[in-house]
Amino acid sequence: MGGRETPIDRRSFLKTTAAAGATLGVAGCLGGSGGEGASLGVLQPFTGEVSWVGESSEVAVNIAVDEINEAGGMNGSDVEIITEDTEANQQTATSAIRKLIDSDGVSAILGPTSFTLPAVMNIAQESQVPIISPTAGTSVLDDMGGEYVFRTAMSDSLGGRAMARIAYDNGYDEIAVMYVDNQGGRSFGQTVIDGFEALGGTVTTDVALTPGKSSYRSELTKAFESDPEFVSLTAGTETGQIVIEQWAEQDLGGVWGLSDDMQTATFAEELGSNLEGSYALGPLTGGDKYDEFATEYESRANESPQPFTAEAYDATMLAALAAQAAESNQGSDLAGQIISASRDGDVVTSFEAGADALGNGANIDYNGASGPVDLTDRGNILSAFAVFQSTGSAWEQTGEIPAEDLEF
Amino acid sequence: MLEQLSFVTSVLTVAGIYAILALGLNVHWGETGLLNFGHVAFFAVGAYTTALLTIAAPTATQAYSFGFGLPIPVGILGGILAAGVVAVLLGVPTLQLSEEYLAIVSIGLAEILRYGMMNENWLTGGVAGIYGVGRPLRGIVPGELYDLFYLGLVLAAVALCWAYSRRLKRSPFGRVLRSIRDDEEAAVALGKNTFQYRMQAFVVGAMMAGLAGALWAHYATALTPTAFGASITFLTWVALIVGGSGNAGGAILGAGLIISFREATRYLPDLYGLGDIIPTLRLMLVGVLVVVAIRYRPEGLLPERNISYAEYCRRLDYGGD
Repeated sequence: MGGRETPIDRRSFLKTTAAAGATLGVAGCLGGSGGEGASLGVLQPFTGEVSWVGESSEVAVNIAVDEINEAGGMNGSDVEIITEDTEANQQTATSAIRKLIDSDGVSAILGPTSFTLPAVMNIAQESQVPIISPTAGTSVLDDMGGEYVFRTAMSDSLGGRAMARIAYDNGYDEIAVMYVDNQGGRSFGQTVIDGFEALGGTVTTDVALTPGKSSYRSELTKAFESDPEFVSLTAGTETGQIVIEQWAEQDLGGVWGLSDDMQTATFAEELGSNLEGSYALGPLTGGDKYDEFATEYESRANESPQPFTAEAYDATMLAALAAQAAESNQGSDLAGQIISASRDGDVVTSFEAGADALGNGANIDYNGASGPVDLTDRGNILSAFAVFQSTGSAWEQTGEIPAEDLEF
Repeated sequence: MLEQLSFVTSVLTVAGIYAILALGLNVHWGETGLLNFGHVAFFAVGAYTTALLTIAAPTATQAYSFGFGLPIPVGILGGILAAGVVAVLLGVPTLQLSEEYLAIVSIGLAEILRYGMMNENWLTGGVAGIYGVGRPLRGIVPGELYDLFYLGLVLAAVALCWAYSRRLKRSPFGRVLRSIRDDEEAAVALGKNTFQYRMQAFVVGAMMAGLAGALWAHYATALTPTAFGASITFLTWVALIVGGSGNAGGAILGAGLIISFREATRYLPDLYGLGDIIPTLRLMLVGVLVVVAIRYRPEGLLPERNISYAEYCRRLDYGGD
């Protein structure tokens, strides 16, 4: 059986080596500039269902970068933006972040979303390059950041705590909780329960809703079994509308506490008097800084600012100010300054003012377009909420929950 | 320079993992003619199995409820075996039928598994996934060389699967597989139990995908369902078609080309300032590559080499008839 070994003929050998050489050649020619100057990486989905996140946040980041460069740049060098697409997919995000860190030598990474951030944060940690995400709300990150992972996006769990606050502050002590059965709804619902119990209230029951059904009567029966006075509902407008219409039909009593998705003018109008007296969470309307940002955004993108854009602007500012505070554009140096640049110091709202204050040896507290932007030791943001109540045809702001009240 | 090398290392590691996937698919499609559109399912099973076997037991705040803290080689082996078991379960109802059924059922299985991963929080951590999967010999190999070490590990796995595929080309088992692919009735007429052979080939290919998944898990250190979309299956198909199905070297070359191509295009925006269009173009260009390959090299860059009966006999030292 001596003939069994492989006779490799010359042509196939040549073809194989040529092809392998070409592959290596492609890989080898990948040139890039690393190290010199200052660059920030934008790591967001630019393709697929959530491509709007990448496109809109890039506009916001560019607004911030133009302001930074006009004021002299990060430690004197103009900031360059390098964008990479995650495709909202873990594998692509992993390659993309390695490229940003290893090859482009970015100072910090702005992004990505909840889909991919958990998958890439180890890489940032190991390479000592900070991630500041304007878009990841997942409550999984609540106690994971603080060293190289930060976010200017609000955690999903804050909304739940704010809801617990509304029920508690308005004197309800027995509530039920309903939520749509997906990652966001589940974590929101769970934090309402945890928050309300921490405040000393009782949660009589919690019910998960499968989105997209045409009848939620049995779920409603279950939720209202023990006649709760207040029911927290986390859902999109479609599911929410069906639930509330069927609740009104059955005359089950109590009032609703609705998550921010349902705090829209059309929602209040369509459900009319059924909703009278019910509560909803909503964002606090921004101050002058937000208006200024919104005007600039509109002139560049021809649309009003998308969700997360003010956060993206603030994340960029924070990265640049932290670099300024660290007097270095190295990721590992500036990471340590991100939290301190966001709180406890002279209040600044622009890069120029911040750089000046830092130059004079002061500490700074950056307040941005999305709010006061104060990061906790775990790199999360605390945020205030507005409380709305329905007049029977529209939402009317009746109160506000300050950020401090959500730390419990 | 070191940074550039580090990026090339990571590209080659991913390419190596895809090469193993492509070699597995080559056993299915290239050798046996099994139309498997759910290759990512085996990849996912391998990845999640090794992750669950090797991570530490979960703390109270984590969604998943298993974590066995076993050594990494045990995890990888477990991942390979689990992928094989899933292949048997999938093969029993489908491999006895004509090949279209397998195509439909396998794509369905992959989607079912993905939805399972997203919703069975107790097992997979749900949408949030599993983090902190260990890396083999992390403390022992010095940090700056670690990526090269892991690349070596992946390349060794590629070499193993390649050696198996080469062996398959000239083993009696491989001949039966190819006879099933080319003319199943003839194989049946020769007294071969084709179901059994198809099942064996199916399991072997799935186990290769399981190995790729396990290597991916220990490379990425974090698993979320977004990493296991149908696009992996189709990228593997592209690699196999462009490289040359039925040829192990072709599968590896195809995976190397496709992954280098995907990663190399990341540099285009920097060079030409095309900005946002590139990410979208990248997928279209992969499509164009397939069209070009099918038009001009329908059998792939390295086609399967058909050996005449005379040459076959000469090689085996039979002397022919």
